[in-house]
Amino acid sequence: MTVANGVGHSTPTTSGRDLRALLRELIAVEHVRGGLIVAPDGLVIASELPSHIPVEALSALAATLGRELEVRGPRLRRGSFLMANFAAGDGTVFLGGTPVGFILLLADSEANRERIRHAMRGAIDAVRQAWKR
Amino acid sequence: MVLTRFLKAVTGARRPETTMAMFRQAGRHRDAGRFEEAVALVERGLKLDADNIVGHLLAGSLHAVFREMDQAKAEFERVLTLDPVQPRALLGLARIAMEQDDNDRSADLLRRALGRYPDFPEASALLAVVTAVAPARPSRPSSPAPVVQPDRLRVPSESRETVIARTDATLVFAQPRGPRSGELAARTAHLQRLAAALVERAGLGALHHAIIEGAAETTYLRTDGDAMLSLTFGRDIETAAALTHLERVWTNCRAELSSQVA
Repeated sequence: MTVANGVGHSTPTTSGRDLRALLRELIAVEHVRGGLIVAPDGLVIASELPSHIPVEALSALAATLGRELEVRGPRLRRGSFLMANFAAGDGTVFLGGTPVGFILLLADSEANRERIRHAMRGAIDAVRQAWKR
Repeated sequence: MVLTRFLKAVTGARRPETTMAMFRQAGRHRDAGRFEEAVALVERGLKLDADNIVGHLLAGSLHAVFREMDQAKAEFERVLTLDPVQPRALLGLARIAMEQDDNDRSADLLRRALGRYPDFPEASALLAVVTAVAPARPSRPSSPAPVVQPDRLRVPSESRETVIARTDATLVFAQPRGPRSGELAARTAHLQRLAAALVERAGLGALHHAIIEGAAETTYLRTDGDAMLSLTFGRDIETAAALTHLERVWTNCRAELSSQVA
């Protein structure tokens, strides 16, 4: 469902326990090229990346960067990291923290940042709900 | 036996029968994100076979999933008592060392892992980051002479914190400047290195800027691979306005840094 500003509602239809299905929903967002869900130790839980992307190296870096953001900043207090995006010449990486790992999405430069943020936020909330400890 | 087969056929239950079968099943659960099921199987398996390397590796991995890093570290260290060059345990400990600012130990562990298993993309990727201009985090605040004129930067009043640093973590400018400024420059530099490596590995080219959202603040980072500017705003600022501020201050920052070189 899309609201007036073109940003889709952030409620995913998939349970936060089904991480692979959640990722499949996220990569259906317009201009998202692919993504992965990686545990904090770098283990790939789900991957939907283009075949030319080195999954192991990317997952290792995503988990390490996610932990760096979670643990210390910059300026962030421990546990306050929500999500980040990293823009480069040929696209953008979105990274979001969840209780069981990190969601990474690769998107085109022209992607609607707000739309992807909302989709990502919905997925993060779904995982948080599912993994309350 | 016949009754067991019959019950399995009826219930669909597939109960692992050996510790290795338990750990394989636990690995499948973990790979599918069914962590609690994996934890239960690993705990059962390790009760039956307390020195099982696979079991301790899985336990370390599962502790890491739930951010129980001290327990994860203990499990990986236990693996190394059983196999001193077990690559996955070395990688796990290298990650934890990096989180604890011990880049030298992290690099050493990653080299040991690559010595055992040279085709190890995760270890190679992390070693490249940890050895790329990895200065020691400052133990006391650095206080370099100011090299930029604050009034020429035109930092927006909404910015709660402004940091300019070289990517080797040398602090150039901080507003407000305080005992944490040097540490903040080092953290930002480390973050910049990781993010730059990530976007390059993703085939996206050089890192241009980043937006990092926390619960209370959002940090906007601009870099050209040589210098970095970060501005931190409250969550209420519009992204477009913040990016406009970022580009304007960045242009002024580059002009100031260039004039210093000239």
